[in-house]
Amino acid sequence: MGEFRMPSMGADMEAATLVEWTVEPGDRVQRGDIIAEIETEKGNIDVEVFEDGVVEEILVEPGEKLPVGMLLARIRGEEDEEEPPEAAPSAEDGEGPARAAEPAPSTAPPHEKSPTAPPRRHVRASPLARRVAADLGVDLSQVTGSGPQGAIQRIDVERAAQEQAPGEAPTFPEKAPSEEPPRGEAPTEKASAEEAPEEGATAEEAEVPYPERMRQAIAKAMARSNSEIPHYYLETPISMQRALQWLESENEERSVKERLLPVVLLFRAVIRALDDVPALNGYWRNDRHEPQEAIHLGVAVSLRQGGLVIPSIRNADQKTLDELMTALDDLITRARSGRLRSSELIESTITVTNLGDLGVETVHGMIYPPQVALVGFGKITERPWAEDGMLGVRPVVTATLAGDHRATDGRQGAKFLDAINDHLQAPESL
Amino acid sequence: MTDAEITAAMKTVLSNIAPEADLDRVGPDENLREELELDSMDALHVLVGLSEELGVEIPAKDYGRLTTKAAIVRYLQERSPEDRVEG
Repeated sequence: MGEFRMPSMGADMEAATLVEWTVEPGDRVQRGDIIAEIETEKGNIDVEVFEDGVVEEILVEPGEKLPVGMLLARIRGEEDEEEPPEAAPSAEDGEGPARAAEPAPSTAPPHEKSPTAPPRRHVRASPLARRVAADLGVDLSQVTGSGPQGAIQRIDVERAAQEQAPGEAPTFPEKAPSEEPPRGEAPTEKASAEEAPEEGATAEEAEVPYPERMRQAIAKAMARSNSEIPHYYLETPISMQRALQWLESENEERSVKERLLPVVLLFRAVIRALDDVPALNGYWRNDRHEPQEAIHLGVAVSLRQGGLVIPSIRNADQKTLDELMTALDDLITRARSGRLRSSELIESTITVTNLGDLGVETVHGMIYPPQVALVGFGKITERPWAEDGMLGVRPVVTATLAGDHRATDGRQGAKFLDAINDHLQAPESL
Repeated sequence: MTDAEITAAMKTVLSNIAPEADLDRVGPDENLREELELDSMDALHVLVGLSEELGVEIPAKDYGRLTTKAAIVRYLQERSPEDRVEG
């Protein structure tokens, strides 16, 4: 029997609002299918299921803010096919605390009417905001959004409703359960579970506007990084002459749409260097270093309204330059429009931040727990460069590494930066 | 292709990439990427979008020149098919 729980989208996430189910009981699902949408500090996220099976039971209604780890649905696996659908969960399922906390479906807050998802119009709004707007009779075209790219969030609709009807208390159709269910075990988030506030989502919390909520999430993750991770920093300048020359001739053959950006070469060099120094790819969890084999490359994407998200290019080590370019483009676009998938936010094994676009030369970053390394690239600038006894001018990028000293030492870090350099000097074999 | 047509196309393209960006606030010779805070991926999208919107092929080697409104207008006017036929 599979249990579908509220996923954790990183060390900084405690809860999220279930916006909608995209499946119904009886639907057959495959690993990787999107079965729900949630609203988080990082925007709306499509949540994928982790196993094949049939949706047996949906335990919570859309509209509720729910803690990470909470049981949301049951998925009957292929081997359980014969089980009668009504079968009560047996004790050997384990997960006692979480199960005890499941609200019976009947305690879910009543929805006046649950309009089926209206067709998406040009107004950018979360599905939850649309539903609340329908309930409150708010015209979305008159609402100013505070979400990603000005997307209208629930809070904006509620504020507009208040302005429309002054003095009338706003209704919170998705009012949080009054009793905070104990958290299920979130496998990687021991620390955040300890820090978790005991309160469920309150009306006050729900009223914190989107950019502020994201700020709080970043604050939490970075404070944790700073207090837990003994960082060491290394940096090295890298000549981009060969890489950029190769890129230019490569792009000449390509149409506008197939053009590669320098950042893709940098990413590819990082991936190749992780092959050489695998210790930097992975996690520090439960006082242990856990290097990972697959490389899920986290990419820091800054958002226009402020803040950032770090979605990952999954299995980046299996991708060619072209595939990386496509994946990066897609990831940035969806990060900014709030359409990320859950697996993209939980699995980064290392993060790359590229602040060169903003003009800085050097980035000393902070590691995103539980990862053990962060690679930074600054702007590619022309600088004086001595090589073979000659002084010349070269396009140069400064590569930095923030390493977790619990997991690796400077020697490995130095080898890693050196390997990035080596790979960038042989762009044709990237 | 007129100045106004190109500017309108730029606005259409930008509204998909950076909805809050106000092209009218940027001077003709100011750096577009800096003024509108476009990263390299955004800038690429702007040029791809313009190319599609106006039916003008923009080779990669010319990207470096297209940094301001004035430069983009001038470049696209030079390269637009009807102008080339007339000229």
